[in-house]
Amino acid sequence: MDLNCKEVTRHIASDGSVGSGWLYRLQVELHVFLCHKCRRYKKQMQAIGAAARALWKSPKEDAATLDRLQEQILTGVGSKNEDAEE
Amino acid sequence: MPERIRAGESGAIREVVEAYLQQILRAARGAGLDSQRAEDITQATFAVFIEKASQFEGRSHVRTWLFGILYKKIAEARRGLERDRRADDIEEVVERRFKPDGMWSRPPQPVELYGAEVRGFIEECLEFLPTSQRMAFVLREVEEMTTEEICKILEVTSTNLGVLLYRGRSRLREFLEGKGVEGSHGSQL
Repeated sequence: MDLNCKEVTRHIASDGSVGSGWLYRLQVELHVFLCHKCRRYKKQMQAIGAAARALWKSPKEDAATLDRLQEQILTGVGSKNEDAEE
Repeated sequence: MPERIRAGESGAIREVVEAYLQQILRAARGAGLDSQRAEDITQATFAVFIEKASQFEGRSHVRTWLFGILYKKIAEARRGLERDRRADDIEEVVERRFKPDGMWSRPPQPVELYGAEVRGFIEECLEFLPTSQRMAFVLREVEEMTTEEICKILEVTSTNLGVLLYRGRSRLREFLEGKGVEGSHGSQL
């Protein structure tokens, strides 16, 4: 059974939740290899993921912000324990 | 570790905060909150974690538990903020790209954008996605979590997760294509 472009793109965008068997995945790979339109679609989806990682994995959270937040979050945690130990 | 967390041991709590603070803050920002709100939600997430530490059963990883708390906090915070969205019509938008036999009628166009532009448009487009789609996308693409872990955090089945990712990514791709193709007006959103 040959897959059509609609099925293949749905498989790609949903991380393979549609048709997850190995044979299905192989058919998807084969289709993408042969179909330049679906190949472009797949590359665009990969580029979107890479851009999102670049967007949020850049060191936006500077060390000072993290230190301040950590201190605020942990305020009272240590003292609560010390109180319990007393 | 679960026992130490359950006992409220300050060393264990500190270790968890140190290990996951950056990830939680990043995900809060990725979910579309501005810096101040992301910090507030992060604090609130850890406050719940510390408060409920004694109930941590250790059946899931502590990270999964933390992100589950974060997701509920974000969903609460965004409930009032969600844009007046039109019904999610992305399925129809994509449907129109194919012929009845499932082959392309309007295939994807080359998108010519610079990296910085793509990142800017992604941020802009994510604003229009429902929280569940945003979180599914961010947890998968940015935090690179497994299907199993994301399903636990969002409390959805793997099939539902597939639908969330499909809709979110499709919306992003349509938006970017609209922005990146000369002559297009990017009117999908």
